[in-house]
Amino acid sequence: MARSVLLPLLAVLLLPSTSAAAGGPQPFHPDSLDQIVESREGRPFLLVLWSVTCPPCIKELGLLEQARADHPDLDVVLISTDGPDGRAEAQEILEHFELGDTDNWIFSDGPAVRLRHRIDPDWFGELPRTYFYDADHRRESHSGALPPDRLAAWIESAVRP
Amino acid sequence: MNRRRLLQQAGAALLLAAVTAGPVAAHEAAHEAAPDRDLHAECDHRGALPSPDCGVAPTPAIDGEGRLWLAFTRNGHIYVTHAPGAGEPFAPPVAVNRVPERIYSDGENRPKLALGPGGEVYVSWARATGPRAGDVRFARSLDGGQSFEPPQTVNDNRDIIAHSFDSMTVDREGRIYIAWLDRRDAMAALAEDRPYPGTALYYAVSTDQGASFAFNRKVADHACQCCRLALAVDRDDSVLVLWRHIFPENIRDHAIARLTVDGASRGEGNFPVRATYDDWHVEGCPHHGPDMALDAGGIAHMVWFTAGNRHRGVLYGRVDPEAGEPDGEYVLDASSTASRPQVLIDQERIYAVWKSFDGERTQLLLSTSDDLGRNWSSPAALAYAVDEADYPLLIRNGDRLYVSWHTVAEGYRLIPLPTATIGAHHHHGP
Repeated sequence: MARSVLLPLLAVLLLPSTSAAAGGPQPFHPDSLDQIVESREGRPFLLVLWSVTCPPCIKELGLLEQARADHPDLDVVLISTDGPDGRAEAQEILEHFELGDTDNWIFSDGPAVRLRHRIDPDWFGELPRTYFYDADHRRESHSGALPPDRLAAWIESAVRP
Repeated sequence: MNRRRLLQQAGAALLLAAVTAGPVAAHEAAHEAAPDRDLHAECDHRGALPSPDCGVAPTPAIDGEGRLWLAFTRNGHIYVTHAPGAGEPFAPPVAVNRVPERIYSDGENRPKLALGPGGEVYVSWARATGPRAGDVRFARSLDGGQSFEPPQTVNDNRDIIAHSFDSMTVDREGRIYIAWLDRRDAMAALAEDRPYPGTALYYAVSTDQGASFAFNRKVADHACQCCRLALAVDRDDSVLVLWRHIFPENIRDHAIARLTVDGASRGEGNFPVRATYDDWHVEGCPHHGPDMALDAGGIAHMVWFTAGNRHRGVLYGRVDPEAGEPDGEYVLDASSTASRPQVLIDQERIYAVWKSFDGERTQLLLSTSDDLGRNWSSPAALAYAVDEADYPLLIRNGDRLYVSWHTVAEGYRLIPLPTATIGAHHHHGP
């Protein structure tokens, strides 16, 4: 068990950074969050901001991989803050964690500060940053890697009420 | 060993050191390939000549004759240029590295520039060596910046892992100190299946004008992985380093240590010396390091960013580097978009600058204290930027102080600080 977890993670460490990603995250613009939220009317979802350069973000992707395996109805939206040139690397990591088929976005070119501000004016920019949207789209936030029990509690209350 | 622990370890090891493959390219792209940005007019095409306006992360230094020196990156090269004084034209930039390298050049992990007492020009930077990996590089000019010798690698561990976030200073004797974040110990721990939060802080000293660097010395384990380091030369020519540390468990506050030519002081009490107590519990990446200036009594005056339980925002505070016991914490700006503070002490006045985004523009803010940080003036806006803004950097030229600021739309600016007392209203510290 231990090995089976460790080895795939090491494999990510050794991923080449150059292979081109087909598909992959779509550009996140200032109005993209409205689009994400409106397309999910009446449904809870998890919004996670992450970066390829952030070790705790990678840990969180591992947690999300497991959560999606356990709860196939869990709706996860992932936004990479890396910008257009980080797209291929972001996609490799997403595919490694079997998150390539979630709703994936990556910061578009343009002032990142403006994108962060549109997502949440009270967010300092630290990563990972998680928003729990309930069915009425009231949201709570968490900074840093999600504690597994917090995610489990949210799934219990919001996704499977 | 349970799954959670392994995930922690492997995940941490994974990118720990590895920081910033993406932002390098992203920032370059912001300058070179963006069709719909508010770019500075001269920089709006790929063939734009290297210049401070069109460069990435220009970093300043002032020499003994009052000349302004700048190092900036563009298209895989670091360039150095100089101007006779503030507001005067820059000389044609000189390429530091002849062979292009992938150079980390986001604000937090930018090339550094320092001048020796004999007019030597020193540049350090981090070169990407692979996905999320880098080497600390150094090059010197002994002919007044007309040409640079081939770069050398400072880290003596040459694994394809992260050696990055270098910071450099030169003491009065001309000795060059370079400190950086180094992942070698985290990798060793991973290989032995031991937990290892964060990365390690290392340094090396050159006593021969940068011809060579002595062996690498470790300052501390468990530094936060991707925050800039602050260095300051003390009265006795020792060098203080301030960095974001990971205190048990996952508290990302700051620590301070003294570096000498012969080794890092480990102090008499607990090591490392705790420099801030914000109680910021986060298993996350602030990507936001501190700055520091020393007063005549050797007390470190610090500015930093935190989102801790005790404080939030851009803060000021001071600490005795040996005794610890930080005090005087003062929230300069509690807004969530306040960031990248810098500090400078000139005679009896402390200057703090930082930037803040108001939803439309980034503003450059200044606050000053005339009583060693007990009271601070109301923040005053010095300048604005309509697109991406680099860190504001404080420099001194004789008795004049400036903020060196590069912003994508406006280009490079050297903004003089007002010399009169700023702001009528003074706040009292907590």
